[in-house]
Amino acid sequence: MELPKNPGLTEAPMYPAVATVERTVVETAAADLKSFYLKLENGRWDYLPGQFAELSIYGEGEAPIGIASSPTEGDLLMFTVFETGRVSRALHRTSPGEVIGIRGPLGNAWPLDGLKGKNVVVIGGGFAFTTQRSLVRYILDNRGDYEDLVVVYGARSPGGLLYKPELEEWKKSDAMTLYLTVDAAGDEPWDGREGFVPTVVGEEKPSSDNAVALVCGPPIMIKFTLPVLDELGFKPEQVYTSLEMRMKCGVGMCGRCNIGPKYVCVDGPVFSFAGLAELPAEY
Amino acid sequence: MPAYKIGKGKLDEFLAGIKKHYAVYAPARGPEGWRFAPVEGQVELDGYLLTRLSAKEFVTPIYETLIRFDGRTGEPARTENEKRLIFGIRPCDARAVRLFDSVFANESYVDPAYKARRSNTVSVVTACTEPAPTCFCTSTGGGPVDEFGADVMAYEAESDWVLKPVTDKGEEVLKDAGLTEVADDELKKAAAPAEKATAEMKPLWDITEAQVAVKDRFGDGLWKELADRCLGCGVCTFVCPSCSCFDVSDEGKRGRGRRYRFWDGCMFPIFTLHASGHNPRESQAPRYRQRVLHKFNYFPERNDALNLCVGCGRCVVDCPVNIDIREAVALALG
Repeated sequence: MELPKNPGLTEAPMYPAVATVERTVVETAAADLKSFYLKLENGRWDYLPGQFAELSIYGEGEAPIGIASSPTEGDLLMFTVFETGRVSRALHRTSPGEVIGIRGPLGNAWPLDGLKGKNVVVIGGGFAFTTQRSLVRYILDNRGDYEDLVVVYGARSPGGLLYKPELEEWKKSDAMTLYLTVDAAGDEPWDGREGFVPTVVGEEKPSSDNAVALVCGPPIMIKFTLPVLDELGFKPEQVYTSLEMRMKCGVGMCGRCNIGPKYVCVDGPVFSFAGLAELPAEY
Repeated sequence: MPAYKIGKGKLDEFLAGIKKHYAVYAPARGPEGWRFAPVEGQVELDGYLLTRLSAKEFVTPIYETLIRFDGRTGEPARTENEKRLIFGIRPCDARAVRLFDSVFANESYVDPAYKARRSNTVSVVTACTEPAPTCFCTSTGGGPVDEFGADVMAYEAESDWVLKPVTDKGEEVLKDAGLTEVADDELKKAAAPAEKATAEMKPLWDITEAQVAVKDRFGDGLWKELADRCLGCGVCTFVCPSCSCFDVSDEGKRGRGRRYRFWDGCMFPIFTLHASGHNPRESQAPRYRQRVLHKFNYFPERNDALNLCVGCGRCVVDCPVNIDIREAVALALG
């Protein structure tokens, strides 16, 4: 299955476009994840789920962030940002009405054409769920093109789950099967399941028949999910992930995000495990 | 395209003529060795083999402003539009500059500042007749008469410079300069000493085998062995003509300032350090391996087997602890 080709940017690839923050949503109980709905000053982007952008605050810098909205949702672009470094801190202090810089769309995308006519199994953990949210939204909005949609999504605690109002809708939806789980609920109100994502996948046994799995999450979750998928009969070429790497340019020039001969920014961020198996294990 | 010649005594006059249309640079001897400098008066190349720093500054400056910002809006910085001619660049350095094209001006992404500088630069490459013991360009796909990065090849004959246009850009500079055309045999005669130097520089390895070997040894202990004494100073990447990695940073006061890029290198721990604290290259061994494999495997794999190390030997000369990339490749070959 071919991954979508990175369309590239041949004009001024280092110069950000201007976007206005239309609204922000605090996603998690700890308020460490915030979503930003952005309106581009000029035009709109042609993008696909799985692509990312460099968000930019002058004086602070840029950070690569996955696009969490789906192109089927209209003109606003949505990004969910974890507050961890200088740029993400500055973003978290940005209020509606203010403008930021944005470069993109960058990178390849989830294998959308390859998923057509297939059963799609989305497995996500923690705040890596952003571009998977874009993918799920995209599939729901083009529902006829795909067979069964199974989503397994987990977080450490109920307060750590992203997009809670939407998850409530998905729970009730006939268009998909959603398995939500948290590692441990603790004192938080939670009437759902407790358990790690790989365990839930093992218990629910999504079929590998005519299926593709898209796995995104912390390394430890991926490490324990892969053997479960293997047991269910998923071949490495049926399993995809999206990688993160320290990046500066996002356009294959600054030289730091390579895994062997591949650059995560231009050849990824989406890779199949069959593709990754051919690369040195250095990520 | 015919080749031309010019009497050695007339070179300065010829370059002065070119200066009407181009900024002209040539190697000059300074207190810290040879460097490229604007030509003022005589060009004196006695004893010149390589500049201390390579020619990469001409297309990717050490510091370069990308954007000037004021508050939350910014303007792209203007790129200097100087047309320039470099006289006396060596084949290895010119090769490295051309190899940058696949990084900075490829089918998906084009850096406008790079592209402007590249198309505005004419490289007059002087063939080498007396390579240093640290030169190994014939082992990396080049050589003393390599024309890969040249717009003009210049051969030093007894009393003349023989100038052979290689590209249209090169021909443009030579054709109306009132030079004397030379026949093929005179060109051959002028090139003979450099051809002889080529023949005497026996390749250290078969480059195709070397490119496979370094990859096959990815998981091997040899990188740790080689990098154990590495200080992580990064001088190898700084002096390297084909290292082009950069960092981007913002600087300013009270919301006004600039976003700029500047040379960076894979020898530094922070180069690959994630915001989460995770570092995929957590020690010097994988960093050194990255440098060797990028030169000898990753880049060639992406670019029609073209080797990225051009064999100039600067990293060998300048490494404070005598790490030798030739030794690394030789060890990988076993």
